[in-house]
Amino acid sequence: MKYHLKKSLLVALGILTFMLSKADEGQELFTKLCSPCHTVGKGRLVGPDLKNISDIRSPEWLTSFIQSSQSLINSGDIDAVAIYKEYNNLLMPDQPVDAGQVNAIIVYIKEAGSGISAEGSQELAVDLLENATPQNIIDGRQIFSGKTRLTNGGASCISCHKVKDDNVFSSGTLAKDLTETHEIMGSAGVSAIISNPPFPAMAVTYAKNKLTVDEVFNLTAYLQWVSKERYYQHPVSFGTTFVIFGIIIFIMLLLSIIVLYFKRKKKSVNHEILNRQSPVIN
Amino acid sequence: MSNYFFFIGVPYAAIVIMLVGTIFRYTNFGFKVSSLSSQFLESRELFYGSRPFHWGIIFLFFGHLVAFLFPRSVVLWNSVVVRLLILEIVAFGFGIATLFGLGMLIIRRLKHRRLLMVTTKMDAFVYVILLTQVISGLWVAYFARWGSAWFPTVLTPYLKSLFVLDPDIIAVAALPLSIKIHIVSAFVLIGMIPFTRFMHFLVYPFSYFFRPYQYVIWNWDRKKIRTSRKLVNGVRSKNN
Amino acid sequence: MDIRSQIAMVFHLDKCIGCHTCSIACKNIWTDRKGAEYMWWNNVETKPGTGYPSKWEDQEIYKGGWVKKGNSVLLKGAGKFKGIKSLFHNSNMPVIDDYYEPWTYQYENLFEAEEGDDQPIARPVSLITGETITPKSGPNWDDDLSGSEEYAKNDVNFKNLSPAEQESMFQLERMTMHYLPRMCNHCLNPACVAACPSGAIYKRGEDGVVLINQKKCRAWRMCVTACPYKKSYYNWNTGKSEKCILCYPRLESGQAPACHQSCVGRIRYIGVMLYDADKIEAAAASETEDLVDNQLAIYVDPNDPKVIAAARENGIHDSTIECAQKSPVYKFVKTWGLALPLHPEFRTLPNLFYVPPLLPTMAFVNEEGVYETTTEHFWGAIEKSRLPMSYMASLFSAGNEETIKTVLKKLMAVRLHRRAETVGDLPEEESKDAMRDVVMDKETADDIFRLTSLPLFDQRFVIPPAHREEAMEMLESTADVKGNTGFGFKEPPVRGL
Repeated sequence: MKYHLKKSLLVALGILTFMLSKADEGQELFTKLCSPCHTVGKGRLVGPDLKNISDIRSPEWLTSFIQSSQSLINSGDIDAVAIYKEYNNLLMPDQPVDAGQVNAIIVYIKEAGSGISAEGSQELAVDLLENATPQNIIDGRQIFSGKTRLTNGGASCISCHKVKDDNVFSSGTLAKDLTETHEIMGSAGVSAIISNPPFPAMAVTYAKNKLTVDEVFNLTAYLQWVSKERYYQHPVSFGTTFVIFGIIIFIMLLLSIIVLYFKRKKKSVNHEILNRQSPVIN
Repeated sequence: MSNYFFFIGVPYAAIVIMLVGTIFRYTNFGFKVSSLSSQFLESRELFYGSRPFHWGIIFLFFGHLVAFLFPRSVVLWNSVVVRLLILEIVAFGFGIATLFGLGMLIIRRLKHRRLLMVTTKMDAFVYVILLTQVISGLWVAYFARWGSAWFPTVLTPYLKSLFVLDPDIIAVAALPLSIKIHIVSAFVLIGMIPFTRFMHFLVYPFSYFFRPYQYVIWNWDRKKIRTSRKLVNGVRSKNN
Repeated sequence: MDIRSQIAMVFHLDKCIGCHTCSIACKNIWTDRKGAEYMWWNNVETKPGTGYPSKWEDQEIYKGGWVKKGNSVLLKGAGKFKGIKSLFHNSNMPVIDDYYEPWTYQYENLFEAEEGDDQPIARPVSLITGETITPKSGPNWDDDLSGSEEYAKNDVNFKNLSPAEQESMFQLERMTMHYLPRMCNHCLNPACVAACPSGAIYKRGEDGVVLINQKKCRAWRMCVTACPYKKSYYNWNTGKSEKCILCYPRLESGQAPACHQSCVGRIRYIGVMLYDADKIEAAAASETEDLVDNQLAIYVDPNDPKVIAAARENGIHDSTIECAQKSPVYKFVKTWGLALPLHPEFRTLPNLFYVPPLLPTMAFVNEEGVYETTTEHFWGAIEKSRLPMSYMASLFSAGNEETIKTVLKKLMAVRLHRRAETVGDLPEEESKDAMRDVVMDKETADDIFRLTSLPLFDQRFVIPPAHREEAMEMLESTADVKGNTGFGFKEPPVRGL
């Protein structure tokens, strides 16, 4: 994850945590910070299932990992490195929480986890997309490239994102390239992020325009397809075309200015007199 | 934290300085409010600088304004890819025109000694801030595509939150550095208005469209006073 | 009828000796400042010549003044649409090189130079950049026809003459010139006021003086383009436009403007004219050949009881009406019909009138094709004059040669009459014929002679009291601004940021 993203999350969540009420602090924190990527007893999403996490890890270790997983990994902590490797070198964003808040989260996870049986966790492990048809992929592409409007009127994915697909050109470059995302995060992670984005800019974008369940499904199916097909796709980069067209517009603008004001007074009336050679006194 | 400073502190400071400063300057140093045209000293090169620059920057300013005021319409417009591309390419073209014009203006000012005589220190700041603004804008337009698509959904809520005095900088803080520079320099530019020749775009002659061509002022409208029933002296003359 | 009063002027060109005293008087008082060095609110040109700024009369270059459109007029190069369209770069604005780059000399070098083998010199330095320059043009570079190849031959008023006629004008025997002092005309239909986007320029209701409010000026430079006489100047230092203020501080205290007061040849007359403001638009939009007549018809007779009543109704003070009745300008322009506006085809209805010069038109070609200037045939026929009538008509009557001929004939009749009276070497018939020709009686001719040749100071300058004591402005407490320069401008005119 990019440096500034983490930093901004820090700020964002700092404010959020400040505003949270004390009573259900653990639940609030979990929903805001953890739930997009983690479940309690419902299986693996982007990150691991957190059921019984307190039995495996000490609160101190958890606090330091949550606050900055990167520094823990860099310090050579064996467990941290192992998790990092296991989850396709995907870093967990730093969370601005103190030890007390971590404890509140742990307490909540314990409460939530106690009621869930071990068998339940297997249900979600089945791939979400086993019922996906080619039509879902096509619909997903339509949504991704903005050819089909989102039901609730959010901005289309290509506003910011890019994928490797011959049929999708002119994609955005503000945010991450999504070509390999499905492979890294899996269907559950992708759909969880799409339906409830943990990234601030994306969260703001879709705060009032949530995607429908069908759209999330289609997009996830499409991203899976993209991820699989990526070696066979060679889309032309739109950047150069964009610049060339921009320059064409500029030249048209300049020409129209020159034509529109062609009859202007172009030089001094005394031009000839002033530019005539005269003996140099210096 | 620096994000608080740059995205809450700087904007509010800039707007307050702009409002207080321009009113103060306009009322107390009205004589110095001028567009300070240098066409009289050099006209030929100004044409290639001033025109593309002003056309470009006015188009871009209103583009940003529309995205701020009507975010939903812009998102709707962009929901068709071809329209998004047309908008982006045209805006990029105008951006290049602005950069070209600004470059011409800077070169022109450095090239002619006559113009250096009417250049103040603040003019240098004006050029630096405009250059920062235009280059970072073009950078964003190219490397963080598509600006017109994410501006209404990411930056409009931020700007709106500033205006309703409930700043929300989560999304802005997560944006790439180039966009941050663009935002901060925009607010710096606003804050610089009262100290620079930027004053001239606050006095754009809109009133010209609504007044008759000829303009006659009476020191004392004898007719009006003769028919008046009041004994007060009336308002103080303002035209001295 | 909407009667207003206007300070108007008459310049008697036959009396102008081209000494530039007026220009210097003006410069010393008003434009001896940084950024204003190049400005000559009052300047004296030699005609034929291109003038200052060069070719200012050529509105195909500068696009000044108004053009007729239907029953009204439109600004040629400015206005609501055109002006805003050229706000970022004024398409037809004169630049400093059209005037000249002002300079001074390094006089101190004459005193402070190191001792050496050569004589110290005072080199010219630019007043803009401070660098040494070689002056190649100046405000009167073409004075007295100097450099006529460059200047006089390019005079715009020659446009109606055939190339052969133009060529013959520059033959040595035929060459002629006269001076043309110019200043702001304080027009009735001012193009600069109409063109100013910020509304900084206004015409004063009481006396018709056109002024620029320096605090409202935003340097959109439209007045510089719009004024066809190029009498609005851009101060490159302060970033504000400036123009002749008709010395209104002097005027308000009953003194003549500096250029008028200092005039050596006593060519200048100033006085009040009453005019009907309702007729302005129609007059400005009249056909080119009627322009002069229609403009003169705007000015009303201050002795007419109806006019006096209407003037009082409009709040014009009795003392002003009295001055209008004594106005030398009214006599020259209306009673005698001797003075004409400069370039009426610009349709600004200027309030500065010129008595056209008789001298350059005198003398004629005799049977041998030589120009006859002896006193024996002193009063040559106007048609055969050295300076073609079309040139004079282009200057003073929008190309209407009849108008200018009538005026010249009147002037000539006065001279013939006076010559017959004082020298007596003319046959009486000749002077009487001339008088009859222009319908002028002896008394009028003597009046014209007296006001032309022997006027007293008070007869030349009939300035109405400004009655500032009654103006609102005087209600401002003067004690508040005691110690300041004047009562208005309270900050130094320093260039802004």
